Amino acid sequence: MMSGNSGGGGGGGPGGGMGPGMGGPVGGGGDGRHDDEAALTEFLSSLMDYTPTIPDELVEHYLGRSGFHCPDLRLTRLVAVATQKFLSDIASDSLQHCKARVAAPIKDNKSKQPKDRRLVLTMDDLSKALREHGVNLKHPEYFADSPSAGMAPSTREE
Amino acid sequence: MSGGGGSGGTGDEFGRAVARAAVAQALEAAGFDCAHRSAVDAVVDVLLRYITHLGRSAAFHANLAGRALANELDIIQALEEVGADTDGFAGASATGHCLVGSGVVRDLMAFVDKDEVPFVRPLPRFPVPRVQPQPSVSFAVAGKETGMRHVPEWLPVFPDPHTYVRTDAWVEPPPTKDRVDKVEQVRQRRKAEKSLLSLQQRLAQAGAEGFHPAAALTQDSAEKGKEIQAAGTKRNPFLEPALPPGEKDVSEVDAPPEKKKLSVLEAFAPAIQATAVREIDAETGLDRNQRSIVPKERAPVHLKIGFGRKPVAPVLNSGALDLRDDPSFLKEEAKDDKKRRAGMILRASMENPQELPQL
Repeated sequence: MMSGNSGGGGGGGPGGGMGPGMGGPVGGGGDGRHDDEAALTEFLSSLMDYTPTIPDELVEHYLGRSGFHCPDLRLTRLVAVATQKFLSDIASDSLQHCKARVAAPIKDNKSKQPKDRRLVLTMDDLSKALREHGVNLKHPEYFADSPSAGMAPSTREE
Repeated sequence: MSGGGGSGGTGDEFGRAVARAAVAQALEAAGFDCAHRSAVDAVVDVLLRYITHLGRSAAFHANLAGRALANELDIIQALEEVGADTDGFAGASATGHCLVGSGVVRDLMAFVDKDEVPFVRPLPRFPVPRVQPQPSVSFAVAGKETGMRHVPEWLPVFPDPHTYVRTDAWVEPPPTKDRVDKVEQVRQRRKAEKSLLSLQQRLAQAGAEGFHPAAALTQDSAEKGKEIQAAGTKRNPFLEPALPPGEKDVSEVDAPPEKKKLSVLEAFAPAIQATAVREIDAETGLDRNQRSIVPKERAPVHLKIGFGRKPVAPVLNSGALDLRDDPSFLKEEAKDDKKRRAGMILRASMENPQELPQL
């Protein structure tokens, strides 16, 4: 499949985002392109050895729901790997936020020891990490039974 | 994020549960010790939307290029559009480059080279199809004729006629009210006739031969209904033949006539209360009885069985106790026509027992 596409004159055929500057680097960049294509091919075949954290069946299910039908397993793995990378990016960002939160106010040496401090993924850190990726996550702090729940008795009587 | 994962929250529990496990594994690999459940659910939601968005973009690019099936370059293009990383990728600013050498791929390659964390459990292919859809057979394959010119043979066959033609099930018609009433009328008429017949026989025998009414009753017991039997099984002293005067000393006390009337009433109750009574010409009987209904004197002691001109059938009104003094005996039939007729028949039979054909 890859050789067939490469026979079509580089990346001119597939992809809709190709600019008009196609006709330029044809001769000189041909080797580079071939290297890139070889690298891509090798990468895709190496994907078959790699098992992503996100299972293939899950990815296939959701890709099928969105209209992406492909019998090729390598493409499914590609999507899975990309998603896993996205997930690890979010996790690392929120981990940094969590560690920054722990390290900032050093009041008590005992409780803030990094080795016994448990790193918990909270909604707060997650929303900060997702904001950089373009996802706005707002989480309510608590839910109350009535508007006057939890207020001081004096104010409640009023 | 686009609306690619619009309906992800509803009815997709299994996929979400699997994704939750995968996310937990990735978080643990990233270095987290634990996580809030709501935070994990939020990450799962974002993840599924990401996958859906990638699939939609890739499918869009493939369709744009005139293909039905997407290939890896579509995915790479979609990845470039989504923005795989916040920091961007090398070559993102270059517009006219080949996708093959895209920085996204290089980032992915670098990512893959890191440690591998596979999913813990093997998963079946889901969603599992529950029912194999039966492919419908076309007319040509089934070998049938469509029967209509506008229906070609390559269309599936029509369903069987029994699936859409409705025939009424045969329901036994319930017995109509008229029939029921008529049957009931006939039954009561028969009962009245039976009671009449039995009474006439008893009276005739008791009056003519001085026969014991009990024996006569036992003869008729097989034919009679229960009502007559209940009244006549005991030996009725009032139906015995009259003693000749002077034979027995009796006190000058009025024997209560109610007993006789009640017993006779019991005997005639079904006949009187029957709604349908055979039409008997009671006009002549009425005339005959009218003259003799009111006697001049009243015998206090000796009670004569009513073979004479006196009507024995008691009045149905509870107020009237003495038949002979009550001129309204005949007037009471204004209340109920059929009861009147029954009374007529009885009186007629009292007076002329020999004329009746039943005897």
